[in-house]
Amino acid sequence: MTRLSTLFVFAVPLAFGVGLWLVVLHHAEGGRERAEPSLLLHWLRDATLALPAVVIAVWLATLLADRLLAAEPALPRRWRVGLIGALTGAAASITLAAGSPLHGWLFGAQEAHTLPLYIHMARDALMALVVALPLATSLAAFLLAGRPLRAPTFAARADRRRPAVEVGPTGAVPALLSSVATLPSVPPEPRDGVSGFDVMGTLTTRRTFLRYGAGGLAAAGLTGAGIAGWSRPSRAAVVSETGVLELFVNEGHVAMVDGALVYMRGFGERPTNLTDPNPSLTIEPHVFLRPTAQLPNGQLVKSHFFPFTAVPPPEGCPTPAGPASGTTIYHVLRRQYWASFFPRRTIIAEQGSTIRLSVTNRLLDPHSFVISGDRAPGGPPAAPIVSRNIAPGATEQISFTAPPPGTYLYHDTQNAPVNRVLGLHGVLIVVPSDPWRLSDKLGAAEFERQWLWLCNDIEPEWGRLTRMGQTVDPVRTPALPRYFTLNDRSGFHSIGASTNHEINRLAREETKPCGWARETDVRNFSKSPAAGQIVTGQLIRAVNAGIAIHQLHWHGNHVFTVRRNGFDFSRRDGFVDAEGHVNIQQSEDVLELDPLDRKETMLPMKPPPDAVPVVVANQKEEFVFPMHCHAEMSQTAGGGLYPGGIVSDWILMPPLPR
Amino acid sequence: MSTAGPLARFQKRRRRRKRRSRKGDLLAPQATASDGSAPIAGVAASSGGGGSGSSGGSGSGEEPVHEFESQVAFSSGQPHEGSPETLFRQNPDRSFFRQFFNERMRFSDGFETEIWAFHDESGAKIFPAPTIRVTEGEIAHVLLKAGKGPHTIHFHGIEPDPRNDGVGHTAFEVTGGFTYQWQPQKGEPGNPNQGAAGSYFYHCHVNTVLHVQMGMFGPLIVDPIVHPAFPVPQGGRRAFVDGPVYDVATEALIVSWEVDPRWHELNHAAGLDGQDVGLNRFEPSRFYLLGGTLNGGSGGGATNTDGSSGSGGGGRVLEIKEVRARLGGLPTLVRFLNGSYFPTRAFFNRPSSGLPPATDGVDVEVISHDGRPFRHTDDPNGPSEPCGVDGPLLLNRLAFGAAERYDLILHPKKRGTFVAQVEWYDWIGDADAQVNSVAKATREFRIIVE
Repeated sequence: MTRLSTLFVFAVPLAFGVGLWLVVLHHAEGGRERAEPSLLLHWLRDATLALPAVVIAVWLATLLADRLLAAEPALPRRWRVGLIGALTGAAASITLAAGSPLHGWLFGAQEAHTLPLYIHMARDALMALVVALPLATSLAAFLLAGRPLRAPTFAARADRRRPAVEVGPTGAVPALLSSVATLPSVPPEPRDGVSGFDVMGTLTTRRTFLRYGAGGLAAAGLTGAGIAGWSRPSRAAVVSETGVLELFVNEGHVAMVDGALVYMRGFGERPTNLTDPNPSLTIEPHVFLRPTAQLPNGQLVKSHFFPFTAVPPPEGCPTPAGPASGTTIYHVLRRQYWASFFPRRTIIAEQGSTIRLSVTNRLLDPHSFVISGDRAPGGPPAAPIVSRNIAPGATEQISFTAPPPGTYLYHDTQNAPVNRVLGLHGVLIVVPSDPWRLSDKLGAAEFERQWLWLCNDIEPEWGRLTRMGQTVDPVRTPALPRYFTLNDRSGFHSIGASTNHEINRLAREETKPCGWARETDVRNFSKSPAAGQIVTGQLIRAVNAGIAIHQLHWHGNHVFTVRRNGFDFSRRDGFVDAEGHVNIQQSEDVLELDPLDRKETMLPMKPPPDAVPVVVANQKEEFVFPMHCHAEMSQTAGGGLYPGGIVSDWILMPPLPR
Repeated sequence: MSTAGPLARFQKRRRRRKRRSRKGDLLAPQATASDGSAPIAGVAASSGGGGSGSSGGSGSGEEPVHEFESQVAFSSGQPHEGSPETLFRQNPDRSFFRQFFNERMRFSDGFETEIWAFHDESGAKIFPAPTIRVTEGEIAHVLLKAGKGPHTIHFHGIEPDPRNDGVGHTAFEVTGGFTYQWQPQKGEPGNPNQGAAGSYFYHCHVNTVLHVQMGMFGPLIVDPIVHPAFPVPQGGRRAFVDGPVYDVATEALIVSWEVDPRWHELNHAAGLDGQDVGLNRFEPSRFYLLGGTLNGGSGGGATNTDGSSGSGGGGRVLEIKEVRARLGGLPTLVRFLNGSYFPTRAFFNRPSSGLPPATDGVDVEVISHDGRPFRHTDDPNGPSEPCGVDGPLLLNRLAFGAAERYDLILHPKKRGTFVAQVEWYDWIGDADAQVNSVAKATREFRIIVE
């Protein structure tokens, strides 16, 4: 605790000292806010809000200082004090400067100038240094007087194994943002080209935060250009007031998990050519919002997570509301609280919205945009919801009302299944008015957060023939898929075990279910022990755009399957359909997923039921369980490399302390 | 608590490892360099040198690695442990012994191929491997002896903690011996959230695509506890705690399985080094219904069979040709397992081989799937009764895909010999249909009502 208090002795003067300097500076140059408070209140408010971030930044700086000093034991004392002062001062400056867009979004600030955001932030950071450096150095000299000269160490070791609850910014900042963003469904106007959601997205995960935080520190120390670390593409921004999503039927080569390049096609977000080293074959997730009084035509928003007003779970893993009373291993969860991340290719539509697309066929053969209809058990599919052919070179405007809440496959049905399997597919998710439920129907499954798992099988020979201008006949050239993807990743990429941390982050956010043990009752996914709390699982929407029959098998928990192809399984009076499938809501450890199938299933996230109880009672680490397809050929890549295909993990976090 | 030591040590190791990987986050370029191992093919780029390649153990005490430069490093760098401890080891209620063996085996149609499987302490070489059968609530120990290369046992559908789950990348592969420990959860009448009674199987989870096809699997059955409200008559047993009673003497197991002879020439670690060994190309030419009458053995004895079986090279293949049922007696439970990679479907309403269809002689009721009963779950607070309470969930065909299990009850209607079939379909769907229309193979079995 003394160490933590030392950290605060560093951070509080820095936050308030530098904060005062910046507020005065902005005021002096004519910056204004909507309903601006007095200068004193303005200062206290901003500095207080910034304090948690400054604490983290100072903590990171001390960690870095720790490392550097450990490597240079012979460094004279004054240099050591100087280094600690410089690093902590720089950290505080950058943090406060980086708060500008956040500040602007929260309080509707308007600057007196029109500097681009990054220049503005860089300038603020440099200005802040004027005060921060002497202040931090003095503090370091004062604090370290008479102590062995190492940076104070604040590592909260005991809590490291619970990353998601330990670090302020992951929980606190998004939570703060979400509590301020009180307008459901209507995102705030973008300012300076960056919306509040962008900031929220940037701060989303602890790892990201640490990486960019540390990257920023290092860069600041070396070149003063630390803010480069923040220049990431927007994860959520209003992309079009007209609400039309542009899709381009493109082609290109895609690297497989073993490095092989395969010719593929896809609905991309910008026109690219075959030779493009980074072809656009998929889209960032987009959301069509239902009309409101202010926006009678609805709106289109680009966002990696949804709902925007909810909190994106740190590393994809929603933290619980707290331990469940009277138990040592269960938890209660936050109800209607967490946003869910979605993979590329996802289009989300709120119920009641109008989906407006502009699809351009940039290839030399005809393509189509089709959304399959629902399918009754054992029967043929219903008529498609949308079906439009697109001639070579043509652009089709497609507009339709969102179908009932559910999971839909959009795909090209020309020369099926060839173009679909080559990559011309994606998923439309229609969310009901309560976005934490599967539908508006009474008793529809309610969840903590949801996941989309999109499977595909990649057939390089089909790609090769297509690339050569041939039309593949799937009967004459039977499919021999060679790569198998889950959300466009395979094997060690899909489970996030790569040295590429960006891939790992996406896998955690989009694919790997994660949470704390709870006592899910499959009879009732809306059990609410108290207001704002719930006991339920995480919903997985599994979609098969490929050609193989997949058999998704979970270790650790059985899943509870509630729907197939838009047909809600009954909770009573099940039946066996003409294919021989049993139609009733049911627990299973293998989910059959035929080509074109869409199934919704609940992962209860219970402690592993067949573990010896003393093992569960002593869980101190993450329990990691695999999910893989049991049609085991799908576990290969390039003819071997098990497990290199459709595989994921899910994570059960160790219980919170009681 | 005296048992806390080993787990605490293990967890400490894992935390150390994690800290390393966190540092990797902060100072990514240094992470691999400081850990000292070069990212060359086949060797994981992290400490511990966990990438011990394809050829077996590197002793206990090695830590699994968390991050890999490439899929090759990941596939060939699964953590191996020699003979790790069973943490929190308890006194077992049931103990089993399973050791790897390989043997050339002959099937009833004369086909011979190399089979890898597990034998028990008797050393008898049967395929599928001997049944593991326990009752809910019993602590089970299964001692695996790996043999030449690393193996594991994953108890498919049984859900213990990761160390006892038998998967390399979430725990470890075994090169010496390891005792898996688990305790199937007790059922409770009317509770859809509890109870493990039902049909499972166990299999090796190392290079699984190959090892399961080579034959490294066996049946696993969990019997329910007896609840006072659901007594069991003489000669009968319940399928689950509040489930239907069946005739112990005629209980049968049917496993669909097929062989791609090319695969049976491959070696233990085929493909893990990145070589294209065609494990995405599964072209089975032999199709079998394995299994037999279980004869009520609950002590983990071998599956018995009353069907004809092939023999050769000292091993015995258990194939099932018929299921018996007794008119006027308790109904018969048939446990279906798809041990293959292709989807299969059973048909009970088709005559063939001059025999009337099964549905002429028996009503076929499906009662559970993957070790979980079908239950009514429409009352959010009330009891969740088995579906069969309102009348049986009858079928005349059953779709069961790879690794799925279904438990069927045969209710005899009249005496005679009847027929049922199992069909295999390619795992690649028809051009643009969701289901396959053309079967790859059909095998039949008789249902004899006495």
